[in-house]
Amino acid sequence: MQIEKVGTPKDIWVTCPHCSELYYIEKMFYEPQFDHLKLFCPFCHKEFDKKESLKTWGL
Amino acid sequence: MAKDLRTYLSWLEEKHPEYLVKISKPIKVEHDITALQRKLHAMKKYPVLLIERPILDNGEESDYPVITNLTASRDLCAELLGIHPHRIAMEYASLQAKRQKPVRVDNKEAPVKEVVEKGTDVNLLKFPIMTHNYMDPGPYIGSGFVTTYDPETGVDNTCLQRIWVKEPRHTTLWAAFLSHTFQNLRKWWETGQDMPIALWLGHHPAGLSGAQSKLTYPESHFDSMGGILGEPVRMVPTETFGDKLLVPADAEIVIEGYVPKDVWETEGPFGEYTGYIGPQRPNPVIDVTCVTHRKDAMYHGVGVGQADHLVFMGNFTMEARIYNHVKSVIPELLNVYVPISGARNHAYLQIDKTRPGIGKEAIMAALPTDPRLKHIFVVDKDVDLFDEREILWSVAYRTQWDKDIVMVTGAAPYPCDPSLSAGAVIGTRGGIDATPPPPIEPGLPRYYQMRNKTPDEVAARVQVEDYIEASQIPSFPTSY
Repeated sequence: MQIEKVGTPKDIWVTCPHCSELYYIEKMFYEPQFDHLKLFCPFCHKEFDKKESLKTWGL
Repeated sequence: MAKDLRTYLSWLEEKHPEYLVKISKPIKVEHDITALQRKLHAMKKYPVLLIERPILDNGEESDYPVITNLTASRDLCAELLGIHPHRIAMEYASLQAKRQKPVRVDNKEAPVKEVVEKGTDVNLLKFPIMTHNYMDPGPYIGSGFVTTYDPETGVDNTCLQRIWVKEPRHTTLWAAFLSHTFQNLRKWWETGQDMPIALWLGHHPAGLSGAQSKLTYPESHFDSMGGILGEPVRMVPTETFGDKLLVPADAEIVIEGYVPKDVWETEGPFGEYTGYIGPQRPNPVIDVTCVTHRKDAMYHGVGVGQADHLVFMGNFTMEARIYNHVKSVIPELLNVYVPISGARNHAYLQIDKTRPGIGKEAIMAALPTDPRLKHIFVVDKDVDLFDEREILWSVAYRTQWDKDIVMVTGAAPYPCDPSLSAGAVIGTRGGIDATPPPPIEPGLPRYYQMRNKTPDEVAARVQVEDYIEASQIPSFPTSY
């Protein structure tokens, strides 16, 4: 995936499965040492696994 | 009497009572205080705000007021230091150089020890910690100075770091990989130990600025803090770590704890000093062991991503550093200004263009002085360095894209920059030489078309107040 000006994007956009809001996370979450960490929706304050993201961009 | 936040407020009330606004109407710590600051910023107004009745996230009124916008006004911060606001670059460094070793005091002499809470008595959420920006996941301490120490040398390090208060005794800690805090963290974890940490808030603004000095590693910030403060910082042992980790005795609040080895949790997103929302990321955490504070503590909340965060908490230091470094190779350098508009990515340099090429040389000399600097604008001495309209006018009529741009590709980037690609280990930095050619002979004018102006003797003679009442002027329309 290539973005105008930026090229390969730094951030991954995820969609919260609880409230459907979009926000972005660092690619570090996909490294083996952090793969176990759940994400935390800043809107509804619920946790979810990366795999549960309704739609994900930037991988 | 030792300088602290209280002596500063006394000074402010005496010198500029109109600059201190006491808000007695209840206001929520979740977004509302920051919203107020942003509206004032849009008006270009930066009074110090004392929020007397902050409303906590649980709906209750806090026992502690919030003090914010403490470090937002350039003019006020400069006056505090006894420096003209346009001479920070030249004079701030000399204050930093007058380092003063801190002095150790006993607990009974330390106002920050008036209340001591340990273990389950600790509840950080009793303080009016602000949720600052849209998409912040909760309350963040944005004005906490984190002090850690190098396990090899025992030398302490202090810097401003963001702290998400997730639970009453549990927070996250973002120590950027390039930071000295992270170097200490890495060393502690490599020895198999949790890292001792103390976080202190609320002190005299001059001291806060000094604590943000850019130093080598390992080097204590309390010496330079004393230099800017004009007196040695009084220090007191922490409850958890004793004399191994000292904290300012005159702070408002101290939070002590450990950063447990190899524990990472999800943190952010967070609206940063850049003006952008930084992404959610894994970060270490702090398990809080103790909180000490003044009985009538004031919670200092900096306006994150705003002038409050930029001016005194970093821009002054940058100006001094750029000035000293560039002046050592370009003696024609006159002044340096790091504007809040650039969020530390921009610097404006003013030179006396007496010989060809020094505009570009000044750019090349300035860029390595700070990893955040990305754009340098160089202007001549006839330009008001502190008026951005003049800077842009210089760019408009004194540059050609193919001749006057310095571009350094493959330079070290700054990770917080959203314009960088994924995994970028290099970026592009540069500058614009917006100076005209020098005179072809000393004593002649610049070999360039001359600026519009009224004759000098007319400009000196005609004064606005001779024709227009001063009281009418504030009501006149502006333009842009």
